[in-house]
Amino acid sequence: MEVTTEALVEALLRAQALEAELATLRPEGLPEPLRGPLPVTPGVQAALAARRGTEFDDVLCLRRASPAAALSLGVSAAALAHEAAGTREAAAQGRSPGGVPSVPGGGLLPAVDPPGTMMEVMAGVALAFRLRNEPRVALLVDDVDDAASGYWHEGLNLAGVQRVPLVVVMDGGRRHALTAAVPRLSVRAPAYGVRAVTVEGDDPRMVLRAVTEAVERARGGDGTQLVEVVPGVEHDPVDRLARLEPGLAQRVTELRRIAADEARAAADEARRAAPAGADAARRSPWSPDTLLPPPWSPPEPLEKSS
Amino acid sequence: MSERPEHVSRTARGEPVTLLEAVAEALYEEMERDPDVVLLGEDIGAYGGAFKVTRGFLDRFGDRRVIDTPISEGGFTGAAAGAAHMGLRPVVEMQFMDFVSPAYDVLTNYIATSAYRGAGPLPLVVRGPVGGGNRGGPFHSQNVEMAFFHTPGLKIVYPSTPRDAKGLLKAAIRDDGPVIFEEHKGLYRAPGLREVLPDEDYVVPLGVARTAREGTDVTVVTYGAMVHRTLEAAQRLADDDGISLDVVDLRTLLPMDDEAIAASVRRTGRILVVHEDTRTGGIAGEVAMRVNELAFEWLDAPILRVTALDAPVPYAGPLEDHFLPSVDDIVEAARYLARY
Repeated sequence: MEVTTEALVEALLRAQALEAELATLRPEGLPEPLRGPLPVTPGVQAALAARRGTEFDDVLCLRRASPAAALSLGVSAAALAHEAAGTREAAAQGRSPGGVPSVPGGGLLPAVDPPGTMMEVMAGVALAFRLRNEPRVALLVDDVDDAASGYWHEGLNLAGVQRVPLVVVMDGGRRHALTAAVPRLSVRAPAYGVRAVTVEGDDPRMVLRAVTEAVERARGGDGTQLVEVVPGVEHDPVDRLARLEPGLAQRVTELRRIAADEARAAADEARRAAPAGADAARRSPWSPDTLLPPPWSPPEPLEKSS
Repeated sequence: MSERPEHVSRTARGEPVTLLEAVAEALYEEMERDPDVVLLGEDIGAYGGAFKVTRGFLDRFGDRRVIDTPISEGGFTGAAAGAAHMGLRPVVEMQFMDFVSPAYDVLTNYIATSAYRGAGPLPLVVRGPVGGGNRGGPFHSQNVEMAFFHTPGLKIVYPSTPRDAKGLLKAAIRDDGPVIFEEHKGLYRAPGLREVLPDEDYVVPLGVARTAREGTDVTVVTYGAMVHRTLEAAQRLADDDGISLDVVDLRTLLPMDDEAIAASVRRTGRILVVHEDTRTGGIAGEVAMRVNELAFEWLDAPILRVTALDAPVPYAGPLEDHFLPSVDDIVEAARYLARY
């Protein structure tokens, strides 16, 4: 599906606006560094968000809890706000900060924190596709920091050996300069039998094209692909994109207002919703229909029969 | 279609099987029953596995269902989780369970939490050989249950007989949650354990203990290879002292069958816990607490335990013999309790 520049701009603005609102919903008591929005290269956000309506059968996982991937799959802004606030309405009901509702069979897998874990898991998702001869692709947008973990390399190695249809987008975010210990991953990838390209992260069109081509190569049987996104000099590409299309600059103001309204309404809805209660905490991880005993309850009366 | 390998054909021929063959039969039959069951592990395909459990499976099921992996336990256990998300039922073989430690992260942080987080159930089994007595030393002899016992969401199974091994493994594969399945390598080919199994599809439900020997004087709660040492001790005590042991084989360690333990203690008033795992943080501590909560009024003696030493498993024979609980240890402990 052809993605217009306006669609890219709209997607980027929606993701950015919602990410800012979601940060305000995170629980009181969470340490300050974990409360703010997590930086994901705008180009990656826009490219993912713009994939909306293209390949719903594929499975996406976004390592950082940016809403872009979820929005791209049609998950509502309100649903994401409920997850961030941990309300009764949230799929995780406040039991996990995954940030996105899980629809593993339907295209979205929430990420977990230990670096590298999602590379292993998404390699397995892609392995399942290959074993079943399904024309589906697993798409992981990962943080460049994760490439310093052994699990990341184990997962990529397994994916390379099995030639699974996995596309790994390594997002340099804004912190690439701080991670000098991680050399260019696109140089390393061929050693794993993985084809790799490098793309500038501030240009959503380039990221979109690179990711789309990688997805189609993986779907076509070319095995695992890696797209390394390196940060450019621009923090926010909206203005540059807006200049590319006549009349779009004038639309940006309107699109920004719409995105902000949508994000604010979603956040307000989550604030009004009832918080998840004790029953959500007590749900047994072995058997969801069973409630665990509380930290203290008086013992059942014991009675000796003889 | 290739011929069914001999070691998974014995039950069909009415022959007795070892515990290893029972495990192999369970895997083979589950793969025939359900095309979503796939195996992952090191050298399980062309080589047939370090203990030859999966010998011949590659020919029958092909390399898409019998997957030789790189030597990266974390990597392929995580991949099994991803495959399980997509509806497969992976069975991961650890060549030796000692090497499950690199997969500890993904098992505890990702797999065990998945259903609770709302990310969906993960039906997968991590199985492999455990236990000492084979002069394997510190890295090929460990029991790993307690490393995972504290993790909500995981089930832990540890059979002691071929019949239970087959039925429990089938139940584990069909379970919708993650199961860690320990197989004592000292029991794998023990000739004395050979038994004829039902030539029909059967499962042994998870979470249910069994009475390995009925008795009246002292309850012994145990599992795995220690079941057989305890039964030997029980016979000696009955012959020499007239002491009667009620032996409870836990079979599933997590979730634990509290009621089976409490019911036995209510009959005997005395309990000894025997495990091959090391002492501190061993399962004996948890059993003792549960007996305290459920049957304190019935106790006529302190709760005691016989366990391995708090040390890595030593390599040299005399050291390992001293490290592991012996029949003599169990006899002495039970005799002490009976006379308390």
